[in-house]
Amino acid sequence: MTEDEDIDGLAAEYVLGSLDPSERAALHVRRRGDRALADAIGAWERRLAPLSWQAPEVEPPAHLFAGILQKIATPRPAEVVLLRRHAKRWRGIAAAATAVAACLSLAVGWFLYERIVEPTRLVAELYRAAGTSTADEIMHPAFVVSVQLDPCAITARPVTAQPRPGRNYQLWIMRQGVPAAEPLGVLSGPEALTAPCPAPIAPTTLLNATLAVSQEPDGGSTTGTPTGPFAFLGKLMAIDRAADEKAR
Amino acid sequence: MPLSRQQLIETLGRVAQGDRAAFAALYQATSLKLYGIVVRILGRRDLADEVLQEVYVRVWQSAADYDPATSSPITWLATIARNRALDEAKRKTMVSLEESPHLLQLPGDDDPSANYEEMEERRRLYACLNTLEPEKKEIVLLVYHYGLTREQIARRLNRPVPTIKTWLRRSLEQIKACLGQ
Repeated sequence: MTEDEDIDGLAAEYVLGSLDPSERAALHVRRRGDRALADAIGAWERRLAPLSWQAPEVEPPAHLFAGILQKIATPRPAEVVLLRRHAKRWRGIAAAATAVAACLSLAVGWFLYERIVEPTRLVAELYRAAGTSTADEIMHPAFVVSVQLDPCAITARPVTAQPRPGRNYQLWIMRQGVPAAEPLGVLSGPEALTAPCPAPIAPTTLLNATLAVSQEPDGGSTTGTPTGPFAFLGKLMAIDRAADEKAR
Repeated sequence: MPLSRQQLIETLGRVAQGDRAAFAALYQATSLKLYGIVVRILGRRDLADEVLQEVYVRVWQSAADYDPATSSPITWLATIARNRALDEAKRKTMVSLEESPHLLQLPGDDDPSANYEEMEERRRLYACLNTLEPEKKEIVLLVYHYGLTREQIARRLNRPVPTIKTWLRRSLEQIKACLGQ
């Protein structure tokens, strides 16, 4: 069996759903840095997609959408600009959502932006990637990451993420055109991490780049790749027009 | 109210811009189908409720990643829902399949809500599935619809796990060759 056939077989079983939990988790990590595997998975998703369309329609409980609105109530970075421009429209939409939670969350989000990311140009909020979030994790990001473009530097600050004994959080960036996740630094406590951007780096590859945090042994991964699945994820976005234009 | 493929693409575009009204319209148009996918894999409504919420939060966060040139909007949404449900199914104890054989009913190959393009794609896929031996076709469908692992299939059929793995890989290769993609 050739390597290509093996990758295709793995991708096929990943999409079909027959892999056991450990194999599936390993492929989750591997697909992020393995273009051939990611492409094979995409091709199998399209091949088998007609089967998923056959699922019977089932009415979800009526309260679910209110819960979803609550979870997305903290504005995404790009929305801060939109919100400034369209405050009137926002008030109408916010009133339709579960008002108290949404407004509280908005206030907290606004506070974070004003206090933490004011001098920066690109920001990302990282939220739990999988599993059940606590109420605190729903209302606040686990990490806020800001990027100053000139000179390029990245600052990551834990918000709700708690340090775990014997484990460190490690920050990674996944940029378009770069096949593997690049390590940015290790957060070993409540202090913020400031690191230079991985050089050479073009601002165009930072906009919409995905930031991720994995949990690693003390000192961080020694292999140059995450040793487990990403625990927190977020996307870098511009918070003002000047940064947006510079990064495009 | 069902949305056409083009309407769904436009709606996802507005969701990517942070339009919550578009997000509500997307939820209304697609949540019954996505909840159906999630419930079938998880078999438990309490887990399905959590997962569906996470699916739509993920959709909200990553709508800008959707590329109409790569897949249809419903395929993109269904893939997010299926992947999240499969992750949860592998992580948590599911309803015992042996105790709940009624869960393992396979759907028919018709869907009155499908458009012509979807029906044609499904017809081609089923034509290829029908070239498999009946037992192997059933295994492929059971795994896809219920997320059964090789071990669960092996126990159910009283066969060694490596045999099931070989059957699955060969069946999938046969489907790929038949589809010519």
